Amino acid sequence: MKKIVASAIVAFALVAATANAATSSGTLTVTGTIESSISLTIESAGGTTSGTGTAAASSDLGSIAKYGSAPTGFTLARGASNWTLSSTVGVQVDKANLTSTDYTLTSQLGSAPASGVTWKLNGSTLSDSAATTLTSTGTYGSTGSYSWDIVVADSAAAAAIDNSINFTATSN
Amino acid sequence: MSSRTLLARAVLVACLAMPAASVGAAPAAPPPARAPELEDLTLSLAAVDAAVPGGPRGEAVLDVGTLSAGSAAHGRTPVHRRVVVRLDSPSGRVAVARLEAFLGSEPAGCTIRVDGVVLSTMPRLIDAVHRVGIAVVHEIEISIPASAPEGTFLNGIEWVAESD
Repeated sequence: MKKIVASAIVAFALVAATANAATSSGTLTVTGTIESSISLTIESAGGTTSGTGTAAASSDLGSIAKYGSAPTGFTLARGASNWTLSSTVGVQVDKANLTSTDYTLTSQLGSAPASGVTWKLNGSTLSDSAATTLTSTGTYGSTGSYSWDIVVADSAAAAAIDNSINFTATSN
Repeated sequence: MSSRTLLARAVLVACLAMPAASVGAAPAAPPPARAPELEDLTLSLAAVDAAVPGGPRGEAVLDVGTLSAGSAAHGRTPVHRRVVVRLDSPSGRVAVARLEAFLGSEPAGCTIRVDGVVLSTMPRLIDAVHRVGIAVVHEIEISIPASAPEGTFLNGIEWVAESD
């Protein structure tokens, strides 16, 4: 009889455990739209730079003169009636969620250059009125290096030559 | 006869007698209306940052808007949102429960985390002792890789609460 009673108690205990388990569930539906994007960063430039690796870098050339020293990262070539500071600009374009395989890169001066000063990228003269195409087959994810020349006429006034170069990348 | 034996017999008699009581009895009166049985455990969801309010109990919609991986060179850009999970026990029998979550479908390269736990289509433990009776905020993180195709993102996070 003791044995039977013990068995009954075990059976009740199992039933009780099963009966106490409770479950409940719910669903959180997550919706959104994945949008393609590209980003452009200035990776390098001549001069004393800051902000490289971002979309807004700056380069300080300090005081420049035909018969002075070339600024950091530049070379200086003296001509008969002008002189040229030469360096490079590194531009990288990355893509995300985009099937495009290459891009077009253009550049344009932010303001009219000082009289007697010419800005060139990849051999093309820049202006503030129209964009100049640097490449129409840019490769995503790698830094493209573009030659950068500033040509100063001997006749140019001694003054600041401050300017900005605006780059624009467009996926093809 | 010991008292232990008496007890055993009494239980046995009672069990046998119960079915007999209904045999040959007068036409059975309709059983008395029983009070609806209270649920032991319920789960409700509400998306804290949702553009679309929650639906019926246990369902909610979280619209995360536009997602973009950003620059591949600068890593993925995770989106963070919060959701409130509330467990209740109308019957009062459950004090804590185990909360698990899983995805309704594979997220196609995207990573969805709840409280840092990466979700898949297999249930993952979110909280082993989730409190019952209070709302608990959980953080959802969605990471979009640069390789994910553009277009609509849709998935479902299934939540399951279970008491011991």
